[in-house]
Amino acid sequence: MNIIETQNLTRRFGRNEAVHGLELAVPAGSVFALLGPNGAGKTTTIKLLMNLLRPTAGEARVLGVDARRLGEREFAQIGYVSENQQLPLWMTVRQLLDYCRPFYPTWDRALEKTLLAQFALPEERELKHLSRGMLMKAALLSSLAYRPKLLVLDEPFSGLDALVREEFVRGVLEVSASGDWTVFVSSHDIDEVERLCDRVALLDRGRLQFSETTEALQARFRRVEVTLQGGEAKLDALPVSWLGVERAGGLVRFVESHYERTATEQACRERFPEAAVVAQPMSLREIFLALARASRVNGSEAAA
Amino acid sequence: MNLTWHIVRKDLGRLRLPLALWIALIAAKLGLGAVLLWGGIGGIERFGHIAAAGNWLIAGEVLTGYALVAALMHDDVLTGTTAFWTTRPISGGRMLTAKLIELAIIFGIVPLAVTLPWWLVCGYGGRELLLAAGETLFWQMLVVVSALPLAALTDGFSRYLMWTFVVIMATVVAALIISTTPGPSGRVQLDGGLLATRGWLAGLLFVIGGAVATVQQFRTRRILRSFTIVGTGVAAAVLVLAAWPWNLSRNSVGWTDHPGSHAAEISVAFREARSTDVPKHDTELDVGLKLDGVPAGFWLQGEYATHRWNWPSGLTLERSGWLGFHDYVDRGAEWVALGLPSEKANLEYQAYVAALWARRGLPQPPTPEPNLAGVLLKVPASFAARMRQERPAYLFRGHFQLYQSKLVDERPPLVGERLDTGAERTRIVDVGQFTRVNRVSRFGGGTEHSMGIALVEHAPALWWDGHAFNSVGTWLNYQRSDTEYFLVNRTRGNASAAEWSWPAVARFGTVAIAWRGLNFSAPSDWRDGKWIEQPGWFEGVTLAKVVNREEERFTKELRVERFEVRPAAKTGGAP
Repeated sequence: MNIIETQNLTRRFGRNEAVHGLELAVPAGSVFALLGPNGAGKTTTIKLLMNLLRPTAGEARVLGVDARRLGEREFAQIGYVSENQQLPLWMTVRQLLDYCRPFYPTWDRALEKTLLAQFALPEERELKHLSRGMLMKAALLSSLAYRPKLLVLDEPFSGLDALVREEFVRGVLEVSASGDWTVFVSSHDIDEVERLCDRVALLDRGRLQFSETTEALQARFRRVEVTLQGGEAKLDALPVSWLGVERAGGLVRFVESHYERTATEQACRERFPEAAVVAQPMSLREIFLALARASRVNGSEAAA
Repeated sequence: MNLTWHIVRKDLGRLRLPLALWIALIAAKLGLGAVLLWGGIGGIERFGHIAAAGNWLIAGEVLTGYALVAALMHDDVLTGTTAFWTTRPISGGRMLTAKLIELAIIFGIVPLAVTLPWWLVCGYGGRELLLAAGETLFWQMLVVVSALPLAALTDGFSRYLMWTFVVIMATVVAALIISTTPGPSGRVQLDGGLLATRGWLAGLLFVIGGAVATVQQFRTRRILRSFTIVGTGVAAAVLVLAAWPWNLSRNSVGWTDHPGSHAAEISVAFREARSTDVPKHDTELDVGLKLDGVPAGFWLQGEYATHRWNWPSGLTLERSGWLGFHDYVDRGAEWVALGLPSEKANLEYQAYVAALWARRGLPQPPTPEPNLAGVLLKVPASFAARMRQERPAYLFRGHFQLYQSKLVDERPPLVGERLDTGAERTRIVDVGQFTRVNRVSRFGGGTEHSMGIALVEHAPALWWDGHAFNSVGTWLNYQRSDTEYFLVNRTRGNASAAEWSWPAVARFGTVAIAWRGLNFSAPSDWRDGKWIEQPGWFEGVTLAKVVNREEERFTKELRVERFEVRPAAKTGGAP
């Protein structure tokens, strides 16, 4: 069962298309990362999912309900933390929790206590006097204590120092591991997300590049190095799955985006006879960067 | 509902300091009113200063209320995509209900609860309490409905103030344009009733537009749609202000008779008509009517009347306007109310005046007569000439109000004495006797004695009650037209009517408070060609408060088959 589904989800702001024909499916129990550079449309997508914006076209369903009709019952099962959210800064941490608690029938006082201790939040301090990291932790705490079915995190790590990021990630990991929670996180910070997610999607200029499990993604991406043993290298008519092809002397490097050992080696031999081919696994960050560079090149070429 | 109250508690808790300021402003205003009523004020100047301070507090109350609406709404903003509450299990309907409850508490329950003790100590009865509560709520709601749409469609105080400024400027500009736009005849048409109709209809449209947009914003938070609704409401309001053609105000509803037992006994008769030709202008036509059958203790006031002349040829002339009464020459109604014998006409003085006018070649002055109504109309000179040549039939139709004077209280003129009637209360705060040597009087001169009395009055001044006009009168004319004061000398069987001085007036929590200075002259007798003041008249006098109440209102018609108009005698100033 999918907790989030979108079909042809599109949002335009005037002439600018922030999200175009987005097709997403977030299975229940998964930790789903929506990646993309700044301005890719991640926050717009989340606002569409949370009914903070209305789609220009297409549809989004969250917890089985049309996102435009999300109501009290659905939001009682959704936790939402965003770097842009305006928290009631005049409240103390205690007041924030006291205010939120009655709205959630599933609020877990024990979990609240645990998280309060874990995040080391000063209960009697007003939110406006908290650091940015503390503020995000307070927001996370007020969104975790009722064990939401769906936790939506919009750029939760931006502006946080390493220690706070660690605590934040640990908090999310612990609670998500303790139940059948679905976490939907958007970020441009792949390093943090890599530890969290089991599924990943990449958004670029409002368009979905891919959406798959991290395992499948890492399985199909390889950094390939071809060491030429003399002879000519044919660098024209290269497969479209080869990204960022570059040659330095007797060395040709590229990223294979549809790696399959036999097929990739065969393609290399056709172009570089008598060459040594080495394929190395890539981290999510490397994949992301490779795709971003390729996208920029394609964009420049298209623009040209 | 518990969750709704949970939001209410959150907001009221957050706004506890502004709320305390709000309550303090209302209480301080009433406190100043209490000082005016019962404190040692020290004089009319100080009264004026305190009244002015009260007006500043009222202005502060309005501004604080306007800011409170914004603070209340902006704690859970309805615009943008970053509000905290929008991703929590709080529906727009629940939030709207919570905000309405908060508005009802702050702008309904709080002002009423704070003002209730003030009303009670000012002697308000059940009906006055209801009306005062209604009026208070009306003014508070006026602030709320003005502020609510702007607060709902903005996300912060600075933007709220900016839009307030824009709306005020747009309103002023629209009002200027509309009020100076020529009508079809090329002249600016300012029919009062039509303007009033346009005003309240436009206000209603603005309120409806604002309310719909606010509810819509709570339910869907679609700002463009809400702005469109507000814009439509404003556009409709401007259109109505500029072009609404039908007069739906009370003026157009017309006069409603409330005749009582006396109306049938009162008759109207044609007395005389005199015309004065004015070269190059319309002829002035002075029509005199006599009202008979006015019972003792009552007096009449003329209202709107129409006059029509019909000639056998079918020619018709019609004029209309307000009917005036010639100054009545005795104080019959008040004297009856005071239980005093009617004042006799001073025949010796009348003879002296007649002789004086005759010496100067002037016509004899008219005999003073009560209930003589008259109206000065302007008719085309050709019609006036025709009236003189061929007497037309004359039809009169006029509205009248019958008032009764009632003595409500009578006390010795001592500081601290009170003259109370229900919630209308008067306290004497100063009394003094004065002597003046008058050297220039044409009728005798000599030493004149007078008594000055300062009063602090307070009374319900409710817009929705019949006192609406009194209240306006209190503000604009600085006196209540329905109350008169007399010094009465029961031993001598006569009285002296108060000469009004310029009072200071304030209005706090629907209670009008006035500092009124009265001056009473000793009555004089005409003897040997001089007015001689009655000596020692102020000994043993009492201060009487007489209130004139409208008892009946009715319409009278008169038909005169042959309307005779005579040329007016050569006029001259009174000697």
